[in-house]
Amino acid sequence: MTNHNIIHPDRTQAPAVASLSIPDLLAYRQFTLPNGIEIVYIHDPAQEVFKMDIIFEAGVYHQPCPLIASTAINMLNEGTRHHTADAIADLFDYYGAYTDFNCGLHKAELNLISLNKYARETIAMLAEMVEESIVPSHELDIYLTNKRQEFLVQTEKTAYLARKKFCALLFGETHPYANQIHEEDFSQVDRATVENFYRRYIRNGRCRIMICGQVNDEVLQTVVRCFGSLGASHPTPESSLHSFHPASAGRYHVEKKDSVQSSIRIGKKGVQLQEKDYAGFMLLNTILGGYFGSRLMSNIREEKGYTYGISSYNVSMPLNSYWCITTDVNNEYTEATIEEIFKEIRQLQTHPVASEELALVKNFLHGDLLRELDGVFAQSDALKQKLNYGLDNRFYLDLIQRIKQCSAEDLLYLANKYWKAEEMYVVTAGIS
Amino acid sequence: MIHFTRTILDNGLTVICHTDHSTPFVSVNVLYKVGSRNEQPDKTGFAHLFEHLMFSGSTHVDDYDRYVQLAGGDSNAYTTNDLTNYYITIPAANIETALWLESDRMGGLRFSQQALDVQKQVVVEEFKQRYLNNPYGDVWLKLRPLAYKVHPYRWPTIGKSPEHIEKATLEDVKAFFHRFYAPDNAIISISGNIEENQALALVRKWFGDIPPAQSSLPLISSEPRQTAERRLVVEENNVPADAIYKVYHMDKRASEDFYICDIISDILSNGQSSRLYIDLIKNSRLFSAIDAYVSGDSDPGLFIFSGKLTEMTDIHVAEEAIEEEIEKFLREAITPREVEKVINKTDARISYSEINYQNKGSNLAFFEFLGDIDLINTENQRYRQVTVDHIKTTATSLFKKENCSTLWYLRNKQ
Repeated sequence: MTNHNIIHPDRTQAPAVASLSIPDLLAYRQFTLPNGIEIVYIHDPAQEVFKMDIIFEAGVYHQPCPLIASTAINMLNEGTRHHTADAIADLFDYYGAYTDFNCGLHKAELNLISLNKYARETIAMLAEMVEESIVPSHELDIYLTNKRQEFLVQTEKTAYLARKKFCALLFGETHPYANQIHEEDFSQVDRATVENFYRRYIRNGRCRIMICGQVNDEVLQTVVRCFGSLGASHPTPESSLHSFHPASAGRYHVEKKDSVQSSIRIGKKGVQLQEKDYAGFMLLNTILGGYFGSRLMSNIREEKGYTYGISSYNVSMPLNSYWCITTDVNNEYTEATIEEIFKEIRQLQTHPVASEELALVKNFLHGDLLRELDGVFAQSDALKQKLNYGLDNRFYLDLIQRIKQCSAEDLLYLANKYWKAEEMYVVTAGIS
Repeated sequence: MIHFTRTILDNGLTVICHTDHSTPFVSVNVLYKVGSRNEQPDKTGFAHLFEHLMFSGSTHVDDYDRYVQLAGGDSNAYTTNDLTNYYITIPAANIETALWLESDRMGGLRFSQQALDVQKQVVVEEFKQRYLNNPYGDVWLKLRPLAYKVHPYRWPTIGKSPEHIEKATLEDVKAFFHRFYAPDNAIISISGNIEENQALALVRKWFGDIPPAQSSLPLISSEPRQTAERRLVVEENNVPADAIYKVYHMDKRASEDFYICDIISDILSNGQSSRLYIDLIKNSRLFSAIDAYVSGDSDPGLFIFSGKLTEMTDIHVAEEAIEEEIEKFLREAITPREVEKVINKTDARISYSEINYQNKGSNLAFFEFLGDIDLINTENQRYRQVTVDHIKTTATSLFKKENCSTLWYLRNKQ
């Protein structure tokens, strides 16, 4: 071991903080296959893996009855005309590839992550699943039985019950955005309905394919060959518009006996991505409950110790939005917590945020947005969402600028505009 | 191949540096070699409670998080049975903020009674949220003391009960800090957009003057060999389905045996083409979920079967089915394709884990903690060296009845 002169650094002063850079956006390319399938990709030659997302206009919004959309997308790897479920699983397992299925409100996705050396095999199977799914009854029955059990586990959780109630209040019990699922829905899913939905929205529907990582010629050629040969896709037929039926604002409770804690959800309609207040509201929300040092965390966790965690967030959806505070607290602190939450909101409505706190949160948020764009996989995920709004990741450059320009007065205005106490839903789940 | 440098400073701090220019960030990862296995049986949950207190201010820092956030960073920490790991990800230009914060709290904490009181309450709420108010959340609170009789793995990191957390004193906190939180009991790993030599120079600058603790740490008593089968039935849980757990003692993370056991668990349950999935979920439909996995602890750990039963399944039948799978595993041939598949999956898993700089940083620290940092590049070789004969020999001694603890976790029948 060499001897080094020991330095005694000055710890009494925090090191100077450099101003944060603007995000370095990776270029994406796009083209459309003759059958209408759109390909968007970001290539990073340093990777030896790639990720592929196939996005269909096949979410909950389009389903004729509960569970159909999620079931249809999840059944894609349960059997095709040429391969059984076991053979499909064996192929992906053998090549060390992972598939995943997600069903959102409007879109449903099929995801693949695979090593480049097995790109031909894994991509070909993906295309086959999209084109030739047969929705076998045995696999469907197992899927539904097991999903029903997962659902029953969820309903034991106060956090789930509070979230479910909150969505029903905000959008209306039967609106697809509330996505209310009941135990009996699982026994009512009918194979023909799932298959029809698959044909209409997945096999014949128009999709977009996002690819990122090592997107070399081999990957692109394989995608073009496998997906280019699929039948012509059609723009998804317009689903009838479902109208929103929000309940009256106010206090609601879901009883759950024997629960050790209560879950609280407080919220209302939020702000959509394309609205002009989006950036300012994002900043405002972060101050209140959007990061570890937020006012709600400092007060309710770090000062009072009522909870392990409390946070707030804004969700933008294509046809609506919501904003919500969520926490689990010891039963005896439920009322005190609700009171403190409204105190913190009022504080933001009546007192301008001090410049030091404002600077801190702007920096935090800037760093957080940089993190959201860190690396090719993150940028592809961010881009995927922005494309749904007709935007791309340049959105972030504008967002960061707007956040920078937001003043304490702007925040006061937004807090009063969006957080009217009389518009809030207050939902508790637990012991009353 | 991941390139890195490894240096030990004069005060005993191990420094690992790895450059990754694909990110504008760096990760500063500090691993302390202390976890719940270092706790006293009457003061469990302490290492984790202490992790919370590490965010409550140090000698020159009144508010740790504020400085992280001001510099555009993000930080978090976790405690396991073996270690406590803290990390900050921060734009590379602000790495010194992270080093200042980490070095200040390694040098000394603010020990405040008020902070201790609040964090005790927060951790008790964490206990409730994750272990008590959560279906199946208390399984490991029951299973650990069944499988371990002597070794401190017999309690979980959250502790045996909320009462243990409530009785922690400021004296306990100070003693714990002075014993375990020192450069000679820590590993710092820097990864991301910074040259390795520059990272090392900065770590030397910020950590070089912190004195070592030179604590003599008491040996942890090892778990005696289990000689008889153990069983526990827990009834009347508020869950929709019965669950079964069968755990077998196996060797530690750094042993050859670990890789063999990991492959056994993958053949049994990794992926929808694995044996347990096909036989027990798809064909017999006795289970709605089933998993076999290894704990990977730094002392000898556990090989775990965990399964959730479908509604119509009797728990006796479920257990017999798992035992039948084990017997079949010992009796029948393992196909070369099964082994190949597991090796391919492992290669892929390692490749995927190398995408993210922060992951690489914490993996480097973890392998150094295990005593062989080169595992970051050689682990896939360890898996490749495993033969079908190894698998059979290990499985035969692993899956002995007297090496097993079984927990039936039954639903409320009303």
